[in-house]
Amino acid sequence: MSDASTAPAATQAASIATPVNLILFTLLLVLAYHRLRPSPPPVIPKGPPPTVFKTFTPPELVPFNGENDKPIYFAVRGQVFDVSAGRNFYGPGGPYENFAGRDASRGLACGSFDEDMLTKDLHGPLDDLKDLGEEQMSSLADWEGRFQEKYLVVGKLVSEGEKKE
Amino acid sequence: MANMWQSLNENLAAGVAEWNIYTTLLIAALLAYILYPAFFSPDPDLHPLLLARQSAPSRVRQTGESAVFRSLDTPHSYPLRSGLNVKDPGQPRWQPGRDGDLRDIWRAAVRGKVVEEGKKEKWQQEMDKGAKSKGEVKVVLGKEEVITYQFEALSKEIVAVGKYLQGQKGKRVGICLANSVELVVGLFACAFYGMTPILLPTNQPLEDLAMMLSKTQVDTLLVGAGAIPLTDLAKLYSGLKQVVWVVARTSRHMDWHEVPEGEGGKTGVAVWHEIMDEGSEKMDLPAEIPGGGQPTGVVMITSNKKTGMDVVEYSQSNIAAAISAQIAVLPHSYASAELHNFSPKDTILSLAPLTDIYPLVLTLAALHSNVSLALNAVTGPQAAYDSAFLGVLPSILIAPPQTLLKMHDQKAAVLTGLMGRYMHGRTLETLKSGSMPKTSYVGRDARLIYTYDSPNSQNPALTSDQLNSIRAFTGARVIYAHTAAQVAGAVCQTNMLDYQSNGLKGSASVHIGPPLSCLEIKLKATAGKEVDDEKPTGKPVVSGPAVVKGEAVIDEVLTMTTNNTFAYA
Repeated sequence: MSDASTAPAATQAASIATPVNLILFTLLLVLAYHRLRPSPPPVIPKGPPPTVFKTFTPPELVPFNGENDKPIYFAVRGQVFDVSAGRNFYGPGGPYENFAGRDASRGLACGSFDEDMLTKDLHGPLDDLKDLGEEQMSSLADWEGRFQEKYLVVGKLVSEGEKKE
Repeated sequence: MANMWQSLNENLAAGVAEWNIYTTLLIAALLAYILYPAFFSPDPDLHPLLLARQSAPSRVRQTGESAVFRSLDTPHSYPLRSGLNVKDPGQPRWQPGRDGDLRDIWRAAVRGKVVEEGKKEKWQQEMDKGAKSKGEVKVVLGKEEVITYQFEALSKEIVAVGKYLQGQKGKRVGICLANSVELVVGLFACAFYGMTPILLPTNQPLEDLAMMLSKTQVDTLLVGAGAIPLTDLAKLYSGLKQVVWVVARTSRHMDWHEVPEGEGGKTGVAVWHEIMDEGSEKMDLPAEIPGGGQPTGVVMITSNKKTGMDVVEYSQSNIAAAISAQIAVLPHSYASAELHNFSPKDTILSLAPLTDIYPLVLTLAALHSNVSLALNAVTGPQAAYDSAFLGVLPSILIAPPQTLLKMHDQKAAVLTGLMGRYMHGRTLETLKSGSMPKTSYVGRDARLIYTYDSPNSQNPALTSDQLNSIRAFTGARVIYAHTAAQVAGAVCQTNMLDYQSNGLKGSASVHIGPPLSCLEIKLKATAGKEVDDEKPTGKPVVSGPAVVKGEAVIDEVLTMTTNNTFAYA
């Protein structure tokens, strides 16, 4: 009789701490810890820092033609556009690579990508486009509108003389 | 290899053989613990990634300035929100509406909510049967009495007052009244009849009041009866041509026309309720300003620690832009619109004086959305939070931060028991995880509280911890707005569903949220220095249709948090 009364007590004490029970209990504790510890809210990675608006002179603009991991800029009527998205056109090896890093106004007005559309003297005054006709100026205005919708204006182009003042 | 598997098999068999009731209980507890959140945890009110970046910077910036920050619903190169998009009846449906002014707000309040035929589904129409489509104006007088006005009756009062003031050739009308129906009627009477309302703060000493009157060149004054001694005022400021006493109902038996010896002079005296009585029944709001005037500006006075007081004239288009931004900033997705938008089921009460631009803009936005308006004459930082619930049950409150802080301190002092503190901590954790805890306060319950720091205040009023505790104590969502004297409405305000501190410490001042969609902000560094791109800091330069004169520099230093919201530096 005493055996029967002591035996259930022993089995009860032993059965709580069986290996399976211990494993399950530690699993419960680990889960509780993971859920209750404070978690920081989700974070979106920050975007690229904004480009700083700069005043360029023609020699300063030349390096920005896509080589050496530089972005691709060109200028239309004094506004410098960041056309890195159009690398296939304006980057090195592209069909319009002559425009990269230069003042492209005359070329766009006349619809030509030749070398003689670009200003030869980088240290002189900017191309004032005075000898172009109405049709060419209107096509230049169309191009300028398209670029303003498509690309970002990151600076302005002035001649070296103007910048010195 | 086979031995390893065999011994593993034996151990597994031995382990499973020891299966007992405790194992079953543990497995049940484990499953319950894993599956409980799937069934019972609330979704956050707003997706956490929407709170991770709350304003949009521009991609180009000038040297010495940060990028231009805009609200996410008016991206760069699109126009800022400039007005109420008011469509005249008979206008083609897809034509854009005009910006609107104060008169359009009143007309919207009088008209009630208009839903186009066939726009709602059948089950929505069923639900709307019997729903209110128009609000009312309730004035709370002390603890016992609440007087209800309908908008049509108030329209007649507007016509009566407007005709009278115009007959007296008033041009600049000073309104020095506490929050009351007379203030609202006076403001709209000026709007409909082409006079400039000048909202003056009450409870000012006589010299300050005289200085305000002379700075703003007031020629007509609406003021509480007996609040100012006319003779003394005439000595300090002589440009007042007409005074209209607004007499409390208990004092109407007295004769307010009797002018004592030596008083008067040029100033004519009239009494408000007599002007009302003289009005006839058939009076409609004028469609155009009589006399062919243009909508005038609203002049307000803000106190400035440096210069004493600022006199600012907000044009009605500034105010219309600010109002449209306040309406647009409320969540309007399909499910949230019913819960969070202004609707005729709501009542708004301002514990802040309507002579401040932010409470005025919010009240006008609520009127435009057909919310019932409740007016209580006791306002300001010393007003008690509980006084908002005397006689009315406002669902939207505008409260100064000092009022909320006092209520917070009172409730926090009571929270001494362990159980109470534990429950409060649980509520704060629910808030941090992004969802509003369900509180069950018997009786009154505001669902939304607006609070703001007064313009030109140097010390921000609340910390992040206090703001979250206020949310926990009131069961209401709290919006904290940052205002400035030169900007109608707020400069920036926290998202209604944003309960986080955005990377700031709990004991630091609360973050002030993204800019509103009617303006854009850039931070200008002090001269010579450059702005840090990681954490821009500087003086805010605010521009947009809600800013007086288009652009303004605010004399303080703000910075950005990692969530692209503004914060005090």
